[in-house]
This record gives sequence, C-alpha cells and structure tokens, in this order.
Amino acid sequence: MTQDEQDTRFDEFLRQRAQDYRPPPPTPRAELWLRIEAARRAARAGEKTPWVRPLHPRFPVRALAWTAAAAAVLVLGIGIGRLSVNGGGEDVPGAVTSATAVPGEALAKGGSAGQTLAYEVTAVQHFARIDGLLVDLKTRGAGDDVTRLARELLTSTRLLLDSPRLTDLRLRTLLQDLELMLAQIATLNPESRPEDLDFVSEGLARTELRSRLRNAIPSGPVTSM
Amino acid sequence: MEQSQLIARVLAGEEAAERELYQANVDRVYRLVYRMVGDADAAAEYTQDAFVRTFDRLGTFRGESALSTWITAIAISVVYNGQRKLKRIRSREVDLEHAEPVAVSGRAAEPDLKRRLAAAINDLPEGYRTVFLMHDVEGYTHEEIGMALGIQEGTSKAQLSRARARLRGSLAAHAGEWAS
Repeated sequence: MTQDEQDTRFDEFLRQRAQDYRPPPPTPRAELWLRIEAARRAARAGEKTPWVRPLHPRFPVRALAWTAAAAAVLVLGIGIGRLSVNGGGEDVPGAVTSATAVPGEALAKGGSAGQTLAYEVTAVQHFARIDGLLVDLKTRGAGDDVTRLARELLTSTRLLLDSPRLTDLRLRTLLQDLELMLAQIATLNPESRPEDLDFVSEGLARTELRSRLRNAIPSGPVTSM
Repeated sequence: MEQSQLIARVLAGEEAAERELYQANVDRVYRLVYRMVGDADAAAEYTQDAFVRTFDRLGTFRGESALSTWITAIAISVVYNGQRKLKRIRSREVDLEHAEPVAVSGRAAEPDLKRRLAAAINDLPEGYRTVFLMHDVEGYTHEEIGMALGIQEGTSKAQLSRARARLRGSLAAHAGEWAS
C-alpha cells in the first residue's frame, strides 16, 4: 500500500470514528427558544434576564424543579393556613373576591400583613386561571379567546412579579416560568402550525410547569373567597 | 425562502421569521457547540447567547457569506470567549498541579481506541480541533470554515492536515485498524 493510500484510509477511518466524539444529544429547541426570547425581552427592557444563566450557575437547573415545587407548596400552605384562620378569606382585608379582579386592586387595600395575604391569595387565583387557560389551549387550540386571555394573564403575571410583596424566591421562579410560557401562547393564532404548539408543550414538559402550577392551587373553589 | 427576504422580515420585527431563522440554524449550531464543549448545559448556554447576538447584530450582516456561516462564526466566538473565561476561573479556583487533567494524555495506556481518540482530539490545539470538528465531524466545507473562523481556505486545509497528522501519531498503536 502506498503512503497516499494509507493516508486516505486513515482519513476515512478517522472521520468515521470521530463521529463518536462527544455525540450531541437532541437539540433542546423549545427550551432554547424560550430562553432566547426571554433574554431579548429583558435586554430591551434593560433588565438582567433570569434565563441567561451564569457560566457557573450557583443554582443548578435540575434543582429548580424541586425548589419550585417546594415554593408552590409553601404558597399553598400559607394561603390555606391564613385563609382558615380568617374563616375563608371574605373578611381578609384586600382579599380578591372575583376571578376577574386585577391583582393591583387587592394589593392597594389593607395593612402590610393584609397586603401580603392578599398577594398570596391573588397569586393562587392567578395560578388557577392559568391552569384553566392551559386546559382550553389543549382542548380548543390557539383560538382568539385563548390568546387574548394569555395576554391578560401575562399582564397580571408581570404585575405580580413587580410587586414588592413578592419576596419568596421560589415563587418568583414559578412566576417567571409562567411569564415565559404565557408570552409564547400569546403569540399563537388559529393558523399556528403544529410545531408552534409543540414549542409550548415541550417547554411545559421540560420545566415541569404544569405540575408545579397545580401544586400551587388548593383543592376546592378558589374564587369563592 | 430567499435569505435576504428572511432577514428583511426578521429586521421588520416579524416573530414568525425570527423563529424560522432560528429553526433553520439551531440544530447545526448546537451540534457543533456541543462537540466543542462536551457539556449539555454549557452548549445550551452558548447556543442561546449565539442566537441572541445573531438577532442583535442581524442588521450588520452584509451577505459576504451564507447567513448560516455567519451564525456559526458568532457561535464559535461565543464558545471561545466562554471557554477562556472558564479556564481563567478554574485556574484561580484550583491548584493546577493537583487538578484532574481536562484531557487524558495520549501517552497513558488506553485500551480503548475510542477513548484514546477522544483524548487525542482533546489534546489538539484549539484551532486545529475546531477545524477538525467542523470538517471531519460536522461536515463543514473549507470555504465555510474559512468564513466562520476568518481564515483562508488554504489555512483551513493546512490546519486540518496538521490535526490529522497529530491524531495519526496518537493512534499509532492502532495502525492495524486502517492500514491492513
């Protein structure tokens, strides 16, 4: 065998064997797109986006699912506990009594403790509305009413995020994840391609958002407070 | 879709066009980035940064290369910068004398050809490794590599040749695999 022939055979051998070098996993398309959108939105708003993770994240991504679930349980516990003490919430200063009330109205009323409780109650109601939206999206697709509701809920989510009453880091993480998802749904329309809906589904599955959301909603009627 | 039309739609703020651009390029970018860094979290972070920068700078794209090549160039730049930063952080945090080697030296006895090859690729100088990964592993042409790395095609070919020569030396013990 000549040297050239040997070289050619080696090059081909190398090309084949090198395919096993760090074989890439499937591209996490949906998750990456959500992160890219969030980063661009934050950049436009002049904020630092939570999705642009530092090179050495102090809070590993895999831990987020557990901590977010724990946060959701925390909110639930606080909500139920305080509501029980106050006899269902109707006497709670600033409590939201309508599912369509704007979160800001509740927060404007009552003293500090009352405002914090009102915030928590509002958040739980908000989660219930989002859960309902996801059910509608699944059963009826991305109709105009679904996307319109997504935009409304996106506004409410941002109000909740901006509130000084939001001090729980894990609740903040849940709201931030919901913000990204709602932003995605709000861009859908009846003519959206199946892969557009897949983006939302993949994102929900990857962040375990649906189960985290449901963990935050107490059993029983949320709006009868 | 014509490249220029797609870019115009993206610059006009059309979200569907942005997603189209992303979907057309993300797989190839992610694959290369993953090959370069070998870590899913890092690959995702770098790919995300690459596309954020792509959208930010799209207005400056002059069409000297294919859009995909331009995006690849951005991604490689992101990876290089990120890996250098990581190296600086690690050198501050770890006593290098006692640190585990990032790449296992080809001089150590490795019974497995696959592991020896991986170690040999890890040991390549950064430029050689990038050209090798782009050409022999991910199938980029020398023209694309030249445009992405800002080098001449001839330089890309030369670097590939040197990379292969080094790898051949590292795999000398396994010459029977291809020489017989």
